[in-house]
Amino acid sequence: MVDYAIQVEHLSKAFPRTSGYRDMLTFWRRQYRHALDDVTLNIPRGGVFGILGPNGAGKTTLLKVLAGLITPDAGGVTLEGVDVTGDPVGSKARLTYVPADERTLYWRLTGRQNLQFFAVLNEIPARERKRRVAEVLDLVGLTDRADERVIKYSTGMKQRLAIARGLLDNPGILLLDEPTRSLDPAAARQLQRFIKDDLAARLGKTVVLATHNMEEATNLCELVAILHQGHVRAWDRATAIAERLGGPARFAVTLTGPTNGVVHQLQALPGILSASRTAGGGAEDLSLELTVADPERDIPAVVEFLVQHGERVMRVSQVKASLSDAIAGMAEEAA
Amino acid sequence: MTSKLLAMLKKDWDEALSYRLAFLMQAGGVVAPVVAMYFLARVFDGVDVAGLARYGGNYVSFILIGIIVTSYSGTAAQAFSSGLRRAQLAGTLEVLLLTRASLPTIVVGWSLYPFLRSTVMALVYLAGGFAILGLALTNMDLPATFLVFALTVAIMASLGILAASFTLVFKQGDPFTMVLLMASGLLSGVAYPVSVLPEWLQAVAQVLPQTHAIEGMRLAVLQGYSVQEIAPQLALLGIYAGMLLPLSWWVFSCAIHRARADGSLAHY
Repeated sequence: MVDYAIQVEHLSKAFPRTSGYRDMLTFWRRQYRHALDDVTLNIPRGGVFGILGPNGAGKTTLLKVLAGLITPDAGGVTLEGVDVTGDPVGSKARLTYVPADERTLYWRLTGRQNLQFFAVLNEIPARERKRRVAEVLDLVGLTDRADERVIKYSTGMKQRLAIARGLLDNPGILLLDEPTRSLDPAAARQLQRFIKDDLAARLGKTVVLATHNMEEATNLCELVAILHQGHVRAWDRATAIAERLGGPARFAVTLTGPTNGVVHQLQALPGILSASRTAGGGAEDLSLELTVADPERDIPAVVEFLVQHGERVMRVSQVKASLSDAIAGMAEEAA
Repeated sequence: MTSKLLAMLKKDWDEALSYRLAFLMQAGGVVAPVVAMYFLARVFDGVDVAGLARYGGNYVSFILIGIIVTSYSGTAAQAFSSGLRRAQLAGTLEVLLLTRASLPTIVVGWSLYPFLRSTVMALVYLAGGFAILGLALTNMDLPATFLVFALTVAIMASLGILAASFTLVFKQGDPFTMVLLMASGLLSGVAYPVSVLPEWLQAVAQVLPQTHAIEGMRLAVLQGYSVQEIAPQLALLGIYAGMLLPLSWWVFSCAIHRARADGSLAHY
């Protein structure tokens, strides 16, 4: 039996569309936008899990509902067996939420003062407080800068301090809302390593990561939920989702030597959805990317056509679909 | 709960201290009115002001009590909504609500530093009044003074919590508290007795809780009236507090519920 850290059952949340005073006054005919629509998700204990989707997909709303900051219209959330709406105090102890906004710390205070303040509010006993603050500072690598004001910290340091604050009372679940959004590539990689190696692997935390960064989701997450217009469109390994939702099969074809201008003719073949030249290959080579409807039928036909027209086919390989393709496919489908 | 409240007070103190110039100017701002009061005392020295006999006849003592009560009332009425607004703007409201501190603890915590500032200011006024302005505190009836003070703070804090509810839902400072404080400053007898107002304005003044708070405080502090002697003022203040406290807390709970429902806790 799988041990779930988070169980989300048929969760729905709609927000009123209000764009002006007129909408506010005519509340009886208000229209609603579904931020979450019948979301069901079971997240296992331990590891990094991704909530991936474009802006406005409902990622932050989902995390805030999990954290108890937004009340759902329907459905329920259980955190390590504790119902969020039924036992808000019990559920608070099981998770921490690190918002995307870096302005959730007191910038005029030092890092240590911030943590000491939140340690008191989180009821960490006075005799343990100093040690616990030192531990989490060490864990996020801020011990040397702990007595500087937060206003002097870089964005990455603020993000790490916010995570340290969340770790003070040692919750099992961490909800991170786009933690690398404002970081430069080096700082982002450092934080990603920390999330995967320290939080998930070493400390055994369940980390739920909202992101619109495909690479981050692919590299960090064991399972990824694709959220689109409030619906969970997929919940699987990143590679499996990419294969399933990545759209029609794409193939890279490399020809060598002088070509006879076959690209235009290829486009006219049955089953070929698109054919285009791509960069790559040697000076004498021509690289093509083909999108086909039925690979088993269409690729042999393409090779036969090229050989019949005197082309020398060096290589044919399938282009692996990425999460980006999956997201782009969904966006096209929705449009 | 005490340790959490103290932590919130210390955090606000540390933050205030980090703005050194503003902190020094605030400290200077407390002393300046005492100096102004000194010159006012010289103007009114030996002058028999009509309508002050009920309060001992000393204008400086009269106005000093009016200013102290008004200052506390202003703090109580504004501390909660300004604390909430600061947390919304700084982005700390959601993370505070995610801690194990209860909602009442957080709300009360927001008001502690402003109350500390008002208390320091009141003590400086009283010390200055006692040392250089001839304010006599020997008559003061402590139980009556304490009761008037507690009921006044309860009433104004209720109005403050109502203002915070408005801020939570509409994301702007509420205009009603501002109007009430302005009306109280003009009509409640802070700088002049209510009896000098036209009759129709006197009737309006009687509706304002601060009128009875200032009257009760002056009688208890300057004339030494006992609890029984200021029973009419205490009764009125008690009725206001009894109605407003539960009402304000219920409205605030509704506002929090509404902000959680429409996902606007962090909006500003």
